[in-house]
Amino acid sequence: MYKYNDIDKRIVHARVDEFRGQVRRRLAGELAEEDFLPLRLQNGLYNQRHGYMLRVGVPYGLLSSDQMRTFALIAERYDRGFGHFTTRQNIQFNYMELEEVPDILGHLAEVEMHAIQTSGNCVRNVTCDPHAGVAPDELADPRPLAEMLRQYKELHPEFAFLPRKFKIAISGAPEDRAATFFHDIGIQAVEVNGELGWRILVGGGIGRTPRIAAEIRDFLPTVDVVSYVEAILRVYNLHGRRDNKYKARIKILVGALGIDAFRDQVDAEWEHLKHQKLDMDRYEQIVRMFTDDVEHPAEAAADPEPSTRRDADPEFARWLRTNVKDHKHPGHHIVYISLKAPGQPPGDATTEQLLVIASLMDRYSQGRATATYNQNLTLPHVRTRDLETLYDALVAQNLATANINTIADSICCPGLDFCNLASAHSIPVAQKINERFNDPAELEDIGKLHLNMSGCVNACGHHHTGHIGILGVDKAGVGHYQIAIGGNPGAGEESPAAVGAIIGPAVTADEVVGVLDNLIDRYKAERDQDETFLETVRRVGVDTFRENQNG
Amino acid sequence: MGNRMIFDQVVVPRRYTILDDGPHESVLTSETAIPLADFYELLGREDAPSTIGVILEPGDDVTGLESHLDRASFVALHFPKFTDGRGYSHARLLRTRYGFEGAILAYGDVLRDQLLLMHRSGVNAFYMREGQDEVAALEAFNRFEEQYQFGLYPT
Repeated sequence: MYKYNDIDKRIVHARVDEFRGQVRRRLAGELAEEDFLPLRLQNGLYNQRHGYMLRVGVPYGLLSSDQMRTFALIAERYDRGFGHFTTRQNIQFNYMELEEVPDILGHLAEVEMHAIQTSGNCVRNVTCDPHAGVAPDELADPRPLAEMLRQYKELHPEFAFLPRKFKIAISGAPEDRAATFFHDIGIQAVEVNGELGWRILVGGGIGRTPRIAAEIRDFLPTVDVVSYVEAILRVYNLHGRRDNKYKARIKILVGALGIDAFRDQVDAEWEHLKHQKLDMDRYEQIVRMFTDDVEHPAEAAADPEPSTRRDADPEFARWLRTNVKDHKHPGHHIVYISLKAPGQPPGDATTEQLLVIASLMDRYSQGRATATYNQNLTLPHVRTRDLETLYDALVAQNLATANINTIADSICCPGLDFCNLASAHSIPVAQKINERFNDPAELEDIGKLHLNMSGCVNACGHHHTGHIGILGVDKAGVGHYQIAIGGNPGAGEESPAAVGAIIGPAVTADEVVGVLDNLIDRYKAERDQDETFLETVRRVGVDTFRENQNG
Repeated sequence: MGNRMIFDQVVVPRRYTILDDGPHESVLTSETAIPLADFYELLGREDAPSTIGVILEPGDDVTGLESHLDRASFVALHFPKFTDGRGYSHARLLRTRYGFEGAILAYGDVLRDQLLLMHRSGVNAFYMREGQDEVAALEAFNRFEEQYQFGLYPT
């Protein structure tokens, strides 16, 4: 993985010192809250219902075991014994004391981490395919480019006060596991006439106004990507709306101008910037940082399969089918650690779990893990011979629920339990769903189904992109839930990115599970052989499911 | 503090006059700044000073100014709210694309914690918000030995 050089280290430590001074001035009354607000946000600090929440950046989701141990330290010493992994592949700590935050940032700096620009109207953490580097279908590892963009956007003097937040995602594979169509900028690896490059999308987003991104460039070589991103950022900084925060994202600007006029503006700007070619020697150096510290020996292909246990233990066999994914190298696997055990808040991990995960990373995955878009973790370098012992270790920590990519693997925002903006609770509803759909055999029968839930229209749970999406709304003081189907975060040939369609009036928290039962029953009745829920919805149409709910 | 400014990282008395309501009857010199529209109007007049300061509001079009910068003694970037970041792009374009070498002054809601960002974008003169301590604020310039955006392009 990328290792900080001396410059990174000095900058990140200087940033901690800077924030320490700002906190001191704030506590001494020398800095007003409204002046402090953007400063703390750009250091990852929100003020929520129970006090301060700190969001720590995990660039492209990649973690070392030392970093995981530091999360455990923060959870134990400064929080209430758990951390929460987010859809931006970051981690949040919910109960922070303002005066302790500089010390926490100091701990993070020691393991080459920080919370810079994890909030605020600036360029946020650049996310990637959680299978990056080890996906069998990958054209290019997106992380070196994400790292170059990280170094570009971090503390960039010109773009600290954009009209609104700005999110970039990169996918290196034809199957888009990074939701690139729903980002301010989405970047996809493409190969044209044997040359590897990147397709650039712009203006996607969720929130109050869901938009699927439009293509602004069908192909850019790697050397040009950063300067092109700069051109987009400058046009947006100068021309994005600032009069209404709900109309300030780049999707509104792109929508108002139309993609062609927007592209003309960006290209005119880029004319002045395109002489800035990325330093490809440094890029290649960073590429090697991601490959040189992990190895995938060829002899792993001869590892013994855990067939005895698999034949004897149906739970283990199911876990292998559901939570273990294909790897680029023979004899290796991507193993999902499910943070969606029945009854658990989605994405949460306790101190003990974090510590155990850190040692499992060291023992079975060359010290590496990945935080994923769907709020789980992966161990990306697990050998066949280790699957059985790893499984037992995960079971002991309640981290082996065989539910990855099922209806019980829901993406969920913190909702009214934590968030000031929320209209309704989301975690308790997710827990109910999780408890209802806790039979592993049924989950496997239902198959792939993304369920996303947001506690308000800001859509942090990405409900628009769920195969089933649930939106919490407030009706005269009572939380209600609007249910949509047919959304799709990723894109491939057969299943384009899509925004879900609402199937009926909002229901109460107690009624949500009943509606889901009806949807699942209808799916089972309609599905054609091994068709997924989404494929069935796309084939028979949303109306079939609407009638079902009303009847 | 209301009469002090930071200029090239030194605290000095304020030297510029910002006529943001327009020139009216004021005496115009190279140390007075007037709104962009007034600046354009003045350019054609025979009694105009050879150079004068020009105000850029966040919504003003900086690109149109490029061909007239030889008449601008300095550019005053107005920050009505410090969270409006358009002035940063204006400063950047003035310095790196248009090669403007005169003073770029930031005035309005200019706070200590944004000085370094403004400085790095090309601003070299600061009228800070009332109540800010210019001398204490100078530490902002020395906070970071290096900056990100290193190593992106071959040197």
